[in-house]
Amino acid sequence: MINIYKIVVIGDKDAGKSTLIGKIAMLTKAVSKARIKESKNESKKLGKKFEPAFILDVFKEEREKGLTIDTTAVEVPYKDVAFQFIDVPGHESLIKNMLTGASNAKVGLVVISVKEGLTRETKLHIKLANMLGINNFIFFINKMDKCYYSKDAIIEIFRGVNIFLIPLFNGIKYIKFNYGSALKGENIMKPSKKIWWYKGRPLMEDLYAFVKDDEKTNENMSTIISLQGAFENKVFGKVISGDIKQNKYYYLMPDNKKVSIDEYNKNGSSVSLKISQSDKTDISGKVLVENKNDIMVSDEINAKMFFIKKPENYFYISFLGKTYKATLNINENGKNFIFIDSIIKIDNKIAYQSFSKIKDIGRFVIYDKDLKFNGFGIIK
Amino acid sequence: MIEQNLKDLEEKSIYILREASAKFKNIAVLWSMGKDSTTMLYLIRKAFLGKVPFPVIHIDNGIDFPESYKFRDELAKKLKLNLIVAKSEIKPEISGFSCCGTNKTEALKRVLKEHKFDALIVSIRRDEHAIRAKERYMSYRDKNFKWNYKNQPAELWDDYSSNLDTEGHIRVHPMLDWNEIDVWRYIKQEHIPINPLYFSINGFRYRSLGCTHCTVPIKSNAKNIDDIIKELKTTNIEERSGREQDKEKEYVMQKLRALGYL
Repeated sequence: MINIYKIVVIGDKDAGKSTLIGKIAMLTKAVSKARIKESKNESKKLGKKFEPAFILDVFKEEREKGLTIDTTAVEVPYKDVAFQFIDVPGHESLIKNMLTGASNAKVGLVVISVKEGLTRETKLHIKLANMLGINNFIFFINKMDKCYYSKDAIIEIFRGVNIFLIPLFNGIKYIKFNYGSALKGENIMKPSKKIWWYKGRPLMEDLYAFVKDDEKTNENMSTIISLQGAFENKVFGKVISGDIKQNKYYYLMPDNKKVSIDEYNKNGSSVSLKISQSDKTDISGKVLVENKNDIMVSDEINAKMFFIKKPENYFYISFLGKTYKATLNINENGKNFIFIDSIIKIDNKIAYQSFSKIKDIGRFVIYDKDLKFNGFGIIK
Repeated sequence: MIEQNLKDLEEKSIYILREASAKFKNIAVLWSMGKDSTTMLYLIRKAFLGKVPFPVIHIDNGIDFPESYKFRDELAKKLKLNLIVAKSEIKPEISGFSCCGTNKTEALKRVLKEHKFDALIVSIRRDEHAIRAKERYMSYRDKNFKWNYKNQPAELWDDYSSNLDTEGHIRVHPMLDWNEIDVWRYIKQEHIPINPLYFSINGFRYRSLGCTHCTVPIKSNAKNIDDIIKELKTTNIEERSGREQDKEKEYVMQKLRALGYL
């Protein structure tokens, strides 16, 4: 058994994200020969040179158009760990699929085409990934073969990235630059002679060094359990922090009721509990806490939000699996991809904490009036 | 093949199953008697206090292996399953793509309509097939069973609420993260009974089970679970290589899934 690290590969369309993952999968033999052969044949049929991206872009439409529509993932074993590379579309209209892919990743691998530089879409991706909780980024300046592996080409990008990262909301813990060519496989598994001026490690070694360094910090916090629903005489939930203690009082929030856990059963963080609370209808979305000071309760929350389309006067949020109606008093001029910092009013009290303190109870998904996905928010 | 942490996989599968039970009123689980969907039954038991609280559907085209029928009846009795057998009719002139597309999917449509199920638990895994790798944990099918793969719902973190307005049904995929080898390791760990067709007889075994028309065995001497795990550690051959060829080409699977195939 080995640890798998989730890495989302972000960046603009045509920066070479799928090509990079496809190439890595081939070089590490993470995909079967049959799958590579199929990709080769389909490249040929479309009159193209072999396109490593076809290993991931398996929809007919993706191959014909040469772009990723939907997110996917490939697991790559490397030394004593494994990476799960999450591919996401770069195209703006597919931002919802990018968010899906990025939301569970630990590291952002930002692919930038040396020819295009740090584009608007790349910046949007970085900003969103950071808002989703990613604060470790490795930048891969791709297509170095297109600029004769020259160092001059990267200076501007290097500066641009550094300036852009400074004000990011969730802070940056780790950044690293790397240079190469996904298509030619330069500086991916081993150092490239062509990039003689780069003295660092090849990309895979950079990723490896990062995950080896990223030891989990286990905070010694009091218990918080989010509740999913009831089944027979039990309730189901997820332990967000701490550990369950039997015969101890907890608070059911936001109801502010004292309950005891009389029995419990754990499968990792998934738990079933027998609690003294008799009324279990509508229990989903509530939390059990050991210490009331760990959370806040309100129907007004201060959040940083990203809307794909401009929000109307009301919308919905999904918080801990439950849906609430929310209103916002703000006039925005933009049409789409709007970031708003504001207080929203919701139709019920919720128990929450700021995203920077406890991620799991500090974030929500946004839907529009017609219940279509329209973004996400993190609580300040 | 990458071996993952079984505890983590189990924890997440249970979480997804419980989310589904909180969200949907009328859930059913699909069971092919294969290793994955049998493992799913045991995950469901873990999630729901030792019970399988949902009806279990077997789409029976009448040409499954005799071993599978025997296995089905014995396990259904042992686990006290509420088994729904949905018969589909095999027409000899139809095979491969059309066979799975029409027969199986049509039978499933009928049973869903009859019982008004709003969610189906399906045991697909991302590592099985590149098309399945693009799936969500909870995935919407419209009332005609169509999968709109070009416009899939968002699924942020562990929030699976993207399908709030539905006329069709939701496919719930709690085992999406599992690898083939993890399934076998879990079967061993949990002592899950398994269809004997997976074990080698005379140098051949089934690695992936479909019906008798479309599945062929692979060369293997793996006679027990340990042998299978050992075999999978080093293989570079696709799991579904024993399935009828045309179905496994990417676009065929894409078409099948878009039309509602499992």
